Amino acid sequence: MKKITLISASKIEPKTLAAFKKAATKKYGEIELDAQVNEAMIGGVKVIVGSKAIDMTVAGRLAQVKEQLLAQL
Amino acid sequence: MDIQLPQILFQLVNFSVVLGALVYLLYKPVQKILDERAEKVAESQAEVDKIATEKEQIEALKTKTKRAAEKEAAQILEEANKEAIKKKQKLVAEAKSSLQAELKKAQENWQAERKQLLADSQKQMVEAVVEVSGMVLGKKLNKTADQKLIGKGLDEALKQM
Amino acid sequence: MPRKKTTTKKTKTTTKKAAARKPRAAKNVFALPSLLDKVKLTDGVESVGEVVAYSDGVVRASGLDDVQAGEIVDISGKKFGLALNLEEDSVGVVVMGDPMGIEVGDTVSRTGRILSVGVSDAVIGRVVDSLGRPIDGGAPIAADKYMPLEKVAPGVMARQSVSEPLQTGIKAIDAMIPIGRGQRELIIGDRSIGKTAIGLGTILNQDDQDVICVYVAVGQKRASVAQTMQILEEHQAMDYSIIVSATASDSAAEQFLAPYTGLAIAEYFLAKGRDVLIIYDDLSKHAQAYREISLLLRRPSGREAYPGDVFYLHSRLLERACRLNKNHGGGSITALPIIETQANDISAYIPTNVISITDGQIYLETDLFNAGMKPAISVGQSVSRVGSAAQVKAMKQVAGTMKLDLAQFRELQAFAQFSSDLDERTKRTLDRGTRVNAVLKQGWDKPLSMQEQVVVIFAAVNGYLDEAKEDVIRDWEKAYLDYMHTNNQALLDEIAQEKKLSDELVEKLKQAVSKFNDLHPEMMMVKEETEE
Repeated sequence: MKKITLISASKIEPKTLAAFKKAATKKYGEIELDAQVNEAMIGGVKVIVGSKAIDMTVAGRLAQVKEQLLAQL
Repeated sequence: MDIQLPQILFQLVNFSVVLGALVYLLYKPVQKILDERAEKVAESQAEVDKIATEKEQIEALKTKTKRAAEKEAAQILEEANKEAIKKKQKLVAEAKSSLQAELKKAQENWQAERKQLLADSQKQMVEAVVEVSGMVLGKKLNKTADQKLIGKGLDEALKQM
Repeated sequence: MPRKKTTTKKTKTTTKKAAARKPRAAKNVFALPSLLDKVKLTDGVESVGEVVAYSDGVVRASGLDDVQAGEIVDISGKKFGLALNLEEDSVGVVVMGDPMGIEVGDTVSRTGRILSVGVSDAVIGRVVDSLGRPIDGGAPIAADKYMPLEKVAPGVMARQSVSEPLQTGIKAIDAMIPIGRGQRELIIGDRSIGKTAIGLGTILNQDDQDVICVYVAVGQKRASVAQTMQILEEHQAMDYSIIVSATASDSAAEQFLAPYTGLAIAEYFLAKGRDVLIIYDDLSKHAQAYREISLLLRRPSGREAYPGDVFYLHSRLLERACRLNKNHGGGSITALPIIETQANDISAYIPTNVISITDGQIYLETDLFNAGMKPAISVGQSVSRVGSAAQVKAMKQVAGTMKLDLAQFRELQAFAQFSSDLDERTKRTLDRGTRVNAVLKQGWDKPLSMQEQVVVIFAAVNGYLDEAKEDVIRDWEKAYLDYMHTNNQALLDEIAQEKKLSDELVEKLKQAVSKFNDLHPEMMMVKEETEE
């Protein structure tokens, strides 16, 4: 059973959530979905499947920008 | 008085014999001894004179060698002095060059410090800018835009994972 | 976004001094727009984990399925850690630095970097920690190249045999236990016996030898490291030295990595064809730090509670000290590891390990130290497996039989303490031996150049010291070297140039020594008058 965590800045609409759950079940089999809300993300969503994560949040991208700018100095 | 001539003659002969004997046995040896002594005295005197001259010669040699040694010592001293002066000059030159090297190092340090300060202030500026962007974006993102973003994110996640 | 443009002040450059002040360019100091152009946003999948438990500097993290062994991981942006234990369902991460602020649930992410340190020529003269960061309060070191801390040692075909001498400046070592460039020579002895002094003395002697020195301080007091730095600065040795410091109050992971950091810095210069000297002070504390980490990671312990791979810990460190052949640059790394024994026991676990790895050892004895012999090098038990292949010919000529003579002297010495009536020959051997021994005493911060050593040892082994009084040998040596420098500098230069003693050079030396002895009758023993 795979654990999927969703972190977003605002609550995901139930329609989108249900569609995602269906697609994920088709791909991974039985899943446990955990939708969290974290204002600090500012926007977008971060999806963590097992031990892999994909960061599509605004905060994540801002952090990338900051890291790359500082590395250039 | 009966002066008998033979007795006088006998006494004279007697006397001359005794005198002759005396001269021969006493006077000559004594003279010889005296002569020998005088000779010895003369000999020793000659030796003393010889020693005196030798002593003078040695003294002369001593003073000569002393003077030569003093001269050599003075020469060595002079050379040593020259060396010392040369070394002093070398040390002074080295001290000067090391001072210049220190000045250069201090200057390089100061320039590096300036660069560092610049980099620090640039970093602070970057952080401030990112923070401000975050605040601005948070304000600008309304619900529908966010939901669209979330939808796109979920699709991307399913594609990649 | 409006920015204040900084205006320039072009200063008139008239004299040479003012030329140093460059005119400031009219640059927008906060040039963000141009920097932003280079930023690329990626949407990739990254491997994450979570802190599950933390105890004594070791973090247990879940997830991190594809982390590599020895990789640097980032603990939620606060700290760096080293992924050392890859278990079935968790990863053991050793935190570098202090662990305050780590919470259970913190995200642990991979960086993809196996441990490496950024090195450039600017690192010379600096004091850095195990991660290559400067700790002497100066500017950060801009990295020219990133050298990995763990690396496979150069192969057999890339190496060349050791033939160049590394002059330590210490007579006892350079004459009888010579060290070559590319050799590993262990310095072993009890505490406070002069091991660090030998290392530092060697560094002080490298000022004209074109050798870069790296001094790695593992587990030492910070005061000691500060003192070392001060000494090196006073003697202008920091111009060619680097100090890597992981003191006793640094975490065990930092102490474990410090020798590898020093070696990585040395390899940067090795790749450029330079000769490097690296001193590990000391590897006993290094092994103890590794033992601490291994026990916390629950690895099985062996003899003296050290983990099973403590030999490999040191062998992979010391095998990277080598001499490369011309095709690979011709550089060399000479390693002088230091091991502290307890009560002169060189048959303990770690000392025997390192002795079997190195190409010889310099054994310092407490008895010699207490008897006043400094450096307290035991010539009989010290060995250099490279030996005279790394010795200058002049030194070979004068010191060739010295080791044997000293061995004979030591035998007679024990014998002479009990007997009062000695024959002429024994007495002479004893006198000669005492004087040669006295010549080997040396102040730790007074290194001698090769030519100075040659002339002093020449005088000692050829009997010119036999007439000197025993207790003035040190003064004799000092006065003799002064005399040679002022009057016979040409002779010294010739020895330094030719590196061997021709017959006429030997003659000149003999004359010089005799003349010196004649000039200093106050140091000579009075000869008994036999005729009146």
